[in-house]
Amino acid sequence: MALSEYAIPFGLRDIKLVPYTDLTATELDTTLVDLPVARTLSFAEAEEFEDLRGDDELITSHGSGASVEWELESGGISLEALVVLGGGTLTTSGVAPNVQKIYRKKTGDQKPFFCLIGQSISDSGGDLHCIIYRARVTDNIEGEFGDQEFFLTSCSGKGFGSRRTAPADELGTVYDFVHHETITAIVVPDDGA
Amino acid sequence: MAESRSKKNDDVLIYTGGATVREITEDQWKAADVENQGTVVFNKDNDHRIPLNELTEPARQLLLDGHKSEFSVNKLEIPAPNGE
Repeated sequence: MALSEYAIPFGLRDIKLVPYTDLTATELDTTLVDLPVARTLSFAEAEEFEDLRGDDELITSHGSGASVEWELESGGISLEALVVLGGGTLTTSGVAPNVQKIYRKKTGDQKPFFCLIGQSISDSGGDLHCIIYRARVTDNIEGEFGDQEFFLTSCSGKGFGSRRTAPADELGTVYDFVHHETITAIVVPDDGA
Repeated sequence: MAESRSKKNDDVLIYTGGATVREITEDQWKAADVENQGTVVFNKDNDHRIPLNELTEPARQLLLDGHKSEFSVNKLEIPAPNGE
């Protein structure tokens, strides 16, 4: 079966997060962190334009550079994912059957950059991956404990140009849409090595 | 020199879970009926790994059998002399 001319993404199959190993976001970790019960991943390419007017007319507009504004929502709460999204520390202690996890966020804990990847199955075959290379939560991380309601984790942020220099063509890349002929599990973006 | 190299090649226990810090305190070992085992901590400072010989045999078994999705054993990588 050949790759279809265009993808018809339906639903949301999976969201994975990949933390960076350094605050400057030049090297990705080797492990994927699952965002369980993925419900929505919204995507908007954003760019501010500056108009040039003269001679009583609009001459041109020039963009200031592309970025992405994204939002996501997932069911439940993964403390491992919370560390990637919001910074802070997750401490797991004890042994079975008394293991406990504590997610702790301090005032000085900075929200880190991470790579955000969503997968949607295409109705025309294969799937579509949306890869935002250097995302950061820039708004609230929210959830609500309520009667007769599941806790849903939601947050939003921006995606900036990648600072990875390997592979060489990734530097400055804000996002990729990858259309696969065959459904393909999410993997950590290749570093070209 | 040979002794030092042999010691460096001891197996290490690696924490492969998703937490920033993984710890088991002495009291938590005792609660799990593991005696004479001190607190162990896997964190960024030790690259989430500790020498396997820092664990007693019961402690080792408990982690590798009861928490096998969180831990693995590996050889400490020693660079070859002269970069070979």
